[in-house]
Amino acid sequence: MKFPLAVRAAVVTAVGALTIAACGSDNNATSNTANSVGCASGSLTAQGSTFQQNMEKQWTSDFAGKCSGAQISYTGTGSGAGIQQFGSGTIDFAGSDVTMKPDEQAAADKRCNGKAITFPITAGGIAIIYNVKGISSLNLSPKTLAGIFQGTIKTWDAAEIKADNPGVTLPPTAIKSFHRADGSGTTSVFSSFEAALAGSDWKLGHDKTLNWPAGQAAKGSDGVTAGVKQTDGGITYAEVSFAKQNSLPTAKVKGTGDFADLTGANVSQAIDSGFTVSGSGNDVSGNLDFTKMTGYPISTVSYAIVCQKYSDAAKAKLISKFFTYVVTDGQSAADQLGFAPLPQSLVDKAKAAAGSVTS
Amino acid sequence: MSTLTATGLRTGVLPRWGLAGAAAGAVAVTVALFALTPFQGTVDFIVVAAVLMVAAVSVTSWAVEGRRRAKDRLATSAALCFLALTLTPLVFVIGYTVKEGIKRFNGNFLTHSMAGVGPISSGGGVYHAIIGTLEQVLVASAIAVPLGLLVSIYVTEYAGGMLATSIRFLIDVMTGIPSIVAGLFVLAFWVLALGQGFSGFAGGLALAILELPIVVRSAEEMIKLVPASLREASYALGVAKWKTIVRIVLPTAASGITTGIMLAIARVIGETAPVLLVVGNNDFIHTNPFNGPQSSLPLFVFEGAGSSSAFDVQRAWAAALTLVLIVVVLYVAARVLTRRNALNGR
Amino acid sequence: MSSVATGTDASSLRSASSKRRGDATFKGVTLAAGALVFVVLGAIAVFLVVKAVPALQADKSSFWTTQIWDPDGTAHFGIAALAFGTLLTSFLALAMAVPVALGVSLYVTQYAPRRLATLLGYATDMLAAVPSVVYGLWGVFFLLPHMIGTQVFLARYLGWIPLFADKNNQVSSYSKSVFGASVVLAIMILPIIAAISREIFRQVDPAQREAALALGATRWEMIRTAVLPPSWPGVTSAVMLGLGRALGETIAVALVIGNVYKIDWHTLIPGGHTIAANIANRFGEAGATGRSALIASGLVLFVITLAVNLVARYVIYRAGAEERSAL
Repeated sequence: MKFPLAVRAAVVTAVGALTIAACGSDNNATSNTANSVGCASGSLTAQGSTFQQNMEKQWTSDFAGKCSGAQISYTGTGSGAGIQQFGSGTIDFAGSDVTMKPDEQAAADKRCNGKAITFPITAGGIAIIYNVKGISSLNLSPKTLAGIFQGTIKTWDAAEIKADNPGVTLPPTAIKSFHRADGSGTTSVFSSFEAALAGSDWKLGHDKTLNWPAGQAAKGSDGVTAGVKQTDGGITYAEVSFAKQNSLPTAKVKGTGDFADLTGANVSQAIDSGFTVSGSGNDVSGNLDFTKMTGYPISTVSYAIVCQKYSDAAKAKLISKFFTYVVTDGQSAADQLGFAPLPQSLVDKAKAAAGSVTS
Repeated sequence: MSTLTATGLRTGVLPRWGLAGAAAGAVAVTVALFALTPFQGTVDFIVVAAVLMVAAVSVTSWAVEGRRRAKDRLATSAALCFLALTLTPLVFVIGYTVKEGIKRFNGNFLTHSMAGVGPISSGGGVYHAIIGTLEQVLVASAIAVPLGLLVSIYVTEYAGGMLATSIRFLIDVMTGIPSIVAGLFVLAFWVLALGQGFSGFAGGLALAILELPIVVRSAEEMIKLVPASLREASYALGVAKWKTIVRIVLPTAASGITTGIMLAIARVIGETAPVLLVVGNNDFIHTNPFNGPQSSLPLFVFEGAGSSSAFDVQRAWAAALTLVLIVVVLYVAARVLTRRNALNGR
Repeated sequence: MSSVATGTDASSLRSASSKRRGDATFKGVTLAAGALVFVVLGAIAVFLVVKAVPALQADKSSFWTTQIWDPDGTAHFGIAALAFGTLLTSFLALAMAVPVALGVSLYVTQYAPRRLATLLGYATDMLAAVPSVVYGLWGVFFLLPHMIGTQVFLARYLGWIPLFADKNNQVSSYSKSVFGASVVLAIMILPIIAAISREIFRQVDPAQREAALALGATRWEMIRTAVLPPSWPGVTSAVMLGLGRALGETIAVALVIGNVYKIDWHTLIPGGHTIAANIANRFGEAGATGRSALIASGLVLFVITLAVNLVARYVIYRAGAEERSAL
């Protein structure tokens, strides 16, 4: 025989592979929140906003803990990617911090063979996360933020920062700002805030992707936070749970009111005062008005984008049950993660939208 | 006298202790330098000491042995330095991967998926990613190996025609495809244009594009190594060409071809870029490669590398260790096969 | 007698025709495989080119000179910064890797005792075995933090060279920079260049080496006169193969570089971007024009790496050296 060694090796590998294939498990942690909504089974894959990704991980884990057979996998790839992939039909639902533009809505409607609906599932604040040796508390106004992220303010002891923080000694460290490399709803909300409140100082417009003249880029809220974590002098904008996870300080930001800290209560207050629903029926999309926001001024809701009808009945049922859970029982998980529960008016609308998903 | 010295016939020779003495002197100077000036750091110390040692040895040699020998000693020292420079990253890359990866590398990690595990929890594992990688590589090899073998046979045994030459050229072209472009093609064509969506099979397709040229070239080399005398003997006995190839040439080259295939698989198993684009992502164990997103081991490491969560990073290191272990095992097995092959007279 | 003869003739005739049929079938099968590869590759090329064209038409500014990348928004995008970054990181990596690779392969072939040489060969190949994503992970968490000292040194003492200048004292903290990416790339292409160079140096005619030594040359002189001159073609092609690998490297670079769309010669400060890393970052959110633009940039990259690889293989072919099929 000419192949003894190769054949033997191949057989051993095959047996090994089969053994491996038999011994894995999806059974990880269990959860504690209640589920009064009922169960469905099936599997869903989703992508989108990294802003809401920590909430999504918590929800999918809790829901799967209560409903065995429900396999929902959410990956944070950025609101832009979520919307694109949803429109292309490669994922079942998307998470996004911003509502779709007309061409994106058209593609999504086409994918759904009907209508794609958007409804908020959580609210939170975009924290200004920094990591500077020698600074433990920081106030930043919109114009200062504009200077920092556009590269006109280069060191931490610049005059503008001193003006925001009277009496605080600031080190001369170089500022290293991090912005998002991918299409990000967080970028869109942050830049809308700057455009509204920094006036002509903010020259980049507002969108999911901007042409940043300075700073470094990283993928995902995770990426920018990781960058700041490792860099002395780093600063970025990301959902506050990323700062909490990494014990990084966040700045107090001034909107139309005074410098405000990022707390759940401040975010709720901001959503109540600054968010209005503009969609109708099951489309619960809305607008943020930063000039009206009190409380923490860079607050936003984050949305889920689903089809009104799915051809797969099991998928439709699972989506309906999952999102009904998310906007009702699931809201209790918001606080510990640094998000804010949705105000009741939005909960009612979102619940109706989630319940309306059929096959 | 001095002329003779210059030609090196009657120069002095640096005694054994000369080298050691020069080196020790250099280290002493470095210590003094670091004590007296603001220079600090272990790396700086090593670098400065090394530079001074090389300089000291060369200068001493020049003084005692003359220019030619000094240049020779300089070259030797430089080569040794470059050797150290090569081994250093090896030690640090593999060493650090093992050091960090071993922290979470256990049975639990290897047999559980990331279902329900978020960045703030410490549990979870890479089982789903291992299955994904194995299936994707299996799909890739199922396409690339038979096709590659057939192509390499055509190119070597039926060589000479225009088709054979152009195919060899095309295979050369294929080796140059950046892995991300292969992924981009499968994304645009298979996933989107044909509407097949993310799947392990799509990942396998992209990997096959990368694996095929490697298989063809290594199989080609091995088949070419089969002595012509073997073939001629077979023809002389009246055996058909195809039988000669199948029964004589291939079995003779089998070991080498197997090695080549193993190395191709080892190359392709660690590819992230093509898989990143077309396989989607799935925290759950998904064993159907033809339908639905899967995970993959290199993809898992990539996602973890960009994460700010310490748990994610820990898991990424353990996954990296798993990946490196698989690749090293394949390489070592290929080496062992080659040596056995060589021992048998090839 | 005659019946035996007839029988023999008959059977040999039968086996002759079945031989021909077998041969034809087999040749047909292998030919079909070859043709399939031909057709598939052609289809890939055509598909990619067709997909790339819409972007070039939709681009509101020049594809070759624009630095920003916004195909789905304002439709201003170009590969100027990306191509610059790709070439700069690759050539810097080459500058760092080539001397070391040549040094190590010279050591292994000319200086090291046999057993050590084999061991060192395995060790260098081990570097090649590590997947690129692991290099990226290692780069982010080990290399970049530990490189801060070197960055500061370079900026302080060699800062008069534009490559190492640092205007705003940005290098004293963690920097995702072109320099960092180049170092990681250098470590990745080192084993490729070293392995091929090793083979090249081994091919040198032993008679030449011994002749040099017999004439009283020192080992270095022998290397300089007998080993290096005939090896230059092979070494050149090894270098070009390393360059090709560096140009196409995606993942390690995407993790370690600054992802900034700007042409900037300062390699130590945070910044830099490459064509491949851009594709990896932006493919998810790319719409139709965005994907088309990414494909166009991918094709440019492919053409560059193709040119480099073909030159390398041609030079190797001419030099007649045996190259490692594993690579």
